[in-house]
Amino acid sequence: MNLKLSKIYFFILLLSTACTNNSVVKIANKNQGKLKASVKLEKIDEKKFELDTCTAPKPEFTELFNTMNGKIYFTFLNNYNNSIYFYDYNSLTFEKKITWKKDGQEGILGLTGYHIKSLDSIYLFDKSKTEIILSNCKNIILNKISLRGSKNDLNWFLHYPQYYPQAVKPFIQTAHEIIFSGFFPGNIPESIISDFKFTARLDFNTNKVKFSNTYPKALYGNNYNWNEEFFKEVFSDLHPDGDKLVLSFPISHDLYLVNLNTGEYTKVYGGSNFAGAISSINKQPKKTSKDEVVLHAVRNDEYSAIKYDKFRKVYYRFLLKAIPQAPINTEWKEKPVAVIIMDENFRYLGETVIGKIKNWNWQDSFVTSEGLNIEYIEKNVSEKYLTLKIFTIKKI
Amino acid sequence: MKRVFKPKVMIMQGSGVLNKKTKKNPTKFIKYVHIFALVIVALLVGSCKKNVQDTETDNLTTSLSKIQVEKQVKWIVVLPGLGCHGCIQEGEAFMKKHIQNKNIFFVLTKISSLKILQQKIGAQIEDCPNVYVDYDDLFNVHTDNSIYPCIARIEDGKVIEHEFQSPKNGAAFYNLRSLLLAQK
Repeated sequence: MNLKLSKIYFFILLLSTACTNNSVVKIANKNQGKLKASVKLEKIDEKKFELDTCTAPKPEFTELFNTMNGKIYFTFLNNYNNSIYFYDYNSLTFEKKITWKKDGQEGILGLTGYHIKSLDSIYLFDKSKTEIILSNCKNIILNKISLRGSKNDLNWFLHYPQYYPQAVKPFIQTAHEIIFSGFFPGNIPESIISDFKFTARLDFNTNKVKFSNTYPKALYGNNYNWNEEFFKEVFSDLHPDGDKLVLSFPISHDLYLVNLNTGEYTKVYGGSNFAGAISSINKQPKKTSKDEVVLHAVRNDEYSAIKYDKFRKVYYRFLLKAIPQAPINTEWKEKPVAVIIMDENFRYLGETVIGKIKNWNWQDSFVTSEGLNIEYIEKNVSEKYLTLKIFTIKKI
Repeated sequence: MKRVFKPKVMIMQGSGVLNKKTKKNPTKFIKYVHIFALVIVALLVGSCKKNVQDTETDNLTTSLSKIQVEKQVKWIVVLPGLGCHGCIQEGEAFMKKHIQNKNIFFVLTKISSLKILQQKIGAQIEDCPNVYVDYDDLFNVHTDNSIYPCIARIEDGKVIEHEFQSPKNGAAFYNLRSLLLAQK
């Protein structure tokens, strides 16, 4: 009898141990407090684009489009009317919009990103079907290319990435392909981490898609709980050599250079002087509520976009800074946004805090000859303008 | 995954002091250990967080007490601007049709764009006294349901019951429409 009871207690204790125990990793910043700044970002200009009655600021996706005759368009997506708007970047005037239907055979229900190769070749991303749609400025659908393999594969999400297009991680055009960074939204099962590839590469001559680049096992392996997409998004930009991608993982102080031909990774330091250790969640994924995930993201530093500035030969890496003592229910938008500046060899030059997420739509950032453009969120409720603030580097 | 369990630290083994007692009256001691263990198990099970429904009711009631709502209001509809897309569309369609109904009070929270919402519902928010724009995120229920539109029935400023329009509960607005029709 006693033996039987002791087995029951043993089982209960084992169960509670198994439920509460979760391996945690802390990714330390080896250069915290050791880096010397020589430059900072300084606001030098702003551009205000007047919006029509059915357009709001903070568009889900924006892209600069350079025409053959040297004109620069600032384009953005209006989800409400499924249109891409074209503004002259220099004169700030609205020029045209292209609208696609949402319903029917030719409809695009989940338009969330695009790349304008030319006005005859506009690559649209339909999130609802995870496919690329090739269209033109007359909104005629020319082709549809699936990014999730066979239509019959119900477990496609275990084999193919999902995408959250943003201006800071756009479709990257090379000589013969369009590169599009995706991510694995949940915790990556250990069984697939070596095989799951997050970069889609569309050959625009053949319209065939291949996938490359896996998550570094040292960061995302061992079933660490990096819950949800906060820490799983992959930000990338093309290296000036043209044969490498620079990858920025939110949880790593390093940057990963991946050779586009061989898939080989090279690691370089690309961190902040102020970022601390970044920890995985000390709880099992199923036991972590959404509020806990958000709070964890708020209390940890989180790297995001990497942008190369060919005009000044520097890199900008965005950092959503930790609020270590943030009380429960602190919102993600309260996090300060910093921009780290590195030279073309990834040597640290400095970093500047521009404000909070709630005031800066950092996802809508891109580089022009004037500087780094970042969308500023006006407090004005009329939502009449889309405002870009332009930053450039200044010696301290 | 690390396993830290070691049979050596099992409750049944006890400390040296308890072992003396065991020698004196082993049956009584084992009985106490059983009771103690059951209490611990009961505490572990019983110490769970407040249930989700109660947390939501409490949060809604607290939020409601911070704003001015007319006495005639019987229903609160909390419409998030970000979250379950299809569920929010249902809410927007409902709002468009019932914005003139003074028995319903609409709360717009996590607003993505007021300008676009006004286009969708075909009304200017400033002309609608039964609409509250929740810039301070007061009406966040702080559960995983915060991404869904919420319908709450209120009496004397207190939340009596509430439900969410979600993929699992796709008829919440349909049910409210039916109730409103029946009351006419």
